[in-house]
Amino acid sequence: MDFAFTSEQSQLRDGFQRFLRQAYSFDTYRKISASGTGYSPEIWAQISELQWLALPFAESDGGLDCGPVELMLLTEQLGRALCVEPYLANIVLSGQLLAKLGNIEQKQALLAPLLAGTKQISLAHLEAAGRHDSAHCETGAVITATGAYELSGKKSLVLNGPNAEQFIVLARLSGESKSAKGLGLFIVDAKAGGLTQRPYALLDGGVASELTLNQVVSSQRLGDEDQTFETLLDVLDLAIAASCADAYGAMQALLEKTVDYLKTRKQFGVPLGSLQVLQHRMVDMFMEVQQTQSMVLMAMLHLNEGDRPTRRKAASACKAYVHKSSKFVAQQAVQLHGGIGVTEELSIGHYFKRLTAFGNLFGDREHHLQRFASLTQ
Amino acid sequence: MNLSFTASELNFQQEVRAWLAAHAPVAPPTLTYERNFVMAWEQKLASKGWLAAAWPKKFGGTGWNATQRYIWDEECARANAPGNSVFGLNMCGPVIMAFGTPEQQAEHLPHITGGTRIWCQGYSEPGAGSDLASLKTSAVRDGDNYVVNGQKIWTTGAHIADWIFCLVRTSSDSRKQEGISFLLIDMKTPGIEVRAIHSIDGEHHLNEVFLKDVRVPIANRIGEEGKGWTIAKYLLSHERTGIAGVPMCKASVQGLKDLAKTDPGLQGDAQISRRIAELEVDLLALEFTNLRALERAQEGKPPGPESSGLKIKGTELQQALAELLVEMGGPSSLPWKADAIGLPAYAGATAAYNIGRASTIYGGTNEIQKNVLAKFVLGL
Repeated sequence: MDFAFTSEQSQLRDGFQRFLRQAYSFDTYRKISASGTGYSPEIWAQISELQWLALPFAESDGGLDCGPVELMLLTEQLGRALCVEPYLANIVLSGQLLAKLGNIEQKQALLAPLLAGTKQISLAHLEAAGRHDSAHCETGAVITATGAYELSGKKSLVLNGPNAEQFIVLARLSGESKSAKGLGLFIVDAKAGGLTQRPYALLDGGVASELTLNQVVSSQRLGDEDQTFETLLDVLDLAIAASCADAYGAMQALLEKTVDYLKTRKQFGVPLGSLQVLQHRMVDMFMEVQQTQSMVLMAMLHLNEGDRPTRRKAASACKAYVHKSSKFVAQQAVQLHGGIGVTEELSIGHYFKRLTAFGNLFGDREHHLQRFASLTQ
Repeated sequence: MNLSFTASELNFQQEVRAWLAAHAPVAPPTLTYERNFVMAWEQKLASKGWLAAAWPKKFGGTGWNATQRYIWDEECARANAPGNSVFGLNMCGPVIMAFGTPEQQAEHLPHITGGTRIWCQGYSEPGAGSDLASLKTSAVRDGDNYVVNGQKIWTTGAHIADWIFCLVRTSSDSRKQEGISFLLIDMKTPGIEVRAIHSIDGEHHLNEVFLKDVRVPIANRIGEEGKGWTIAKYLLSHERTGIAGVPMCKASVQGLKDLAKTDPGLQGDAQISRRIAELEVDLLALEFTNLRALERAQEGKPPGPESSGLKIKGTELQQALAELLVEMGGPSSLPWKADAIGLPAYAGATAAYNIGRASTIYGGTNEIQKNVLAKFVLGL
């Protein structure tokens, strides 16, 4: 058992921090999030140059051969910097699916340009009626005479959808609408006939879209039926842990800013930070940040080493905990800042929004408590 | 960074597990203040060389590393082995190691690692609870002795202890923290009287200790005169990793899960499964915070910010687990100690819940812990 970061890992983290501090100020964040594009082509090109996009992939896929721990170090810094770049959507979701399920041609055509930063791809797995349940899939896939597939249905909350050239769409080949069996993943071109997209802005500055598929033709399937759903869950487990690390970064920033502010803000002739009721609140925030760090570490280490049931449990435990702790820290940061905490002027409210988005993405606390309970009974 | 055990660590786990299976008492009381029982178990561990699990070899400890200690704690909880008396092993012992003279170390440490002396802690007084530094028990020099007068309270296990370590006032001239000294007192010294306090579990853990003209050799003072507060603070910050009670909480969670399956009144109750899952998730967070602290201690670093919340989070979780057990029992929790209605697991559940409320009070209330955290970690 060993909890120390290697010197390479420490160097990586310092590098992430250095770049974001220099290139991604709060003003930069505000400009990018206000633009409605969900990312900045300049920043995306720069982080591609820095090889961040290649980080969590095997060398044979053109990656840096880094694992969940390094990914956690990166997303933690993205959260701390309020970075809206679509790293999760492209790299963690689509990229990992392509790496795990893609054949050689698919990797060449899709994964290589994704890692090079020249193509964006989004995963379309959720449907509105299914809420957090990825298996809830009413979108149907029918095989045609030519061997292609025809997809029809509606997909919801497709992260970074408006920027994607392709979608990876989860559709049902057989079985009932909530069954984990009979599902397939299909590559769909964003310009394909029969596909309509309704884009919208997200709470955290990112963008997403609702997709309607009306007999959309896909000639490419990703993986086979037996692997599809469990592999999708594997990738979602990694995305859960990576987004928890992102939330941890945001929570650290909130705690630091709150403590600093209460040391200087005076009321009743004294700094607010001298009042015991507020000191204890900040200690509660501090402890939640510490526990969150432990949970993120727990999840990443299990994702790195554990078997499938262990990984599922770890991801669910992490999300169940961090959803709650992040809400607490975000709510108290706003409360302790007072009126200024609910304005757009200050970063506090933006971290608050980012954490609200985080909590309701990839399954909330209740969803994961239930999954954890069913896995650990 | 990794979680896995090496082959030699797995061997160690097997060795520990086998030894505990052969030697741990079957169905021990959860918290016992029966002197013979405590001593018999501690001496059995001592004869194996495993009593001072967290101590360095130099002082008669195991010299185990962080992973071995983790495995040891886990296996003890798994085997439902009785807890050891913390006052010598976790409190007074480390203080004597850090601040004692070679003579004091030679006099006391072998009795702690050998399980031949039981210690208790003389800190709180009727007028000095959370405001510990306002303590009044006085120690006045008279030749080679201090003459100690005063009263200590909430002294856990004083009725079975051989020695007590006390904070006493050796000066009232300066700031209240600066007139305090740290004294070791033999409980057989004339002038010491112990009176029982019965707690709401119906048991006798707690005592009042009255000291009247108790003559204590000056040679029994640890560290300099007037530096007792520094030593007391060291004691509070030392070895925080045991304080969270992670292995004990794990055993409780397992117990709750078993009950959810075996109690016919609870089978298939989704609300109960959810409540257990909630606490099991909290326990995972606590366990990893504890592991981070253990790792740090192993590297010889002072306790980091991650360890400061362990007492608060650990005791809150212990209380939540005890509370859930009582609520799972429902009507079965009403009988006083006996298993009169439901399953044996509910016998004593209420008593444990009752006395468990003390955990957020002793060792510095959780509110005091937060004051300390605010000041020293957040710089407020």
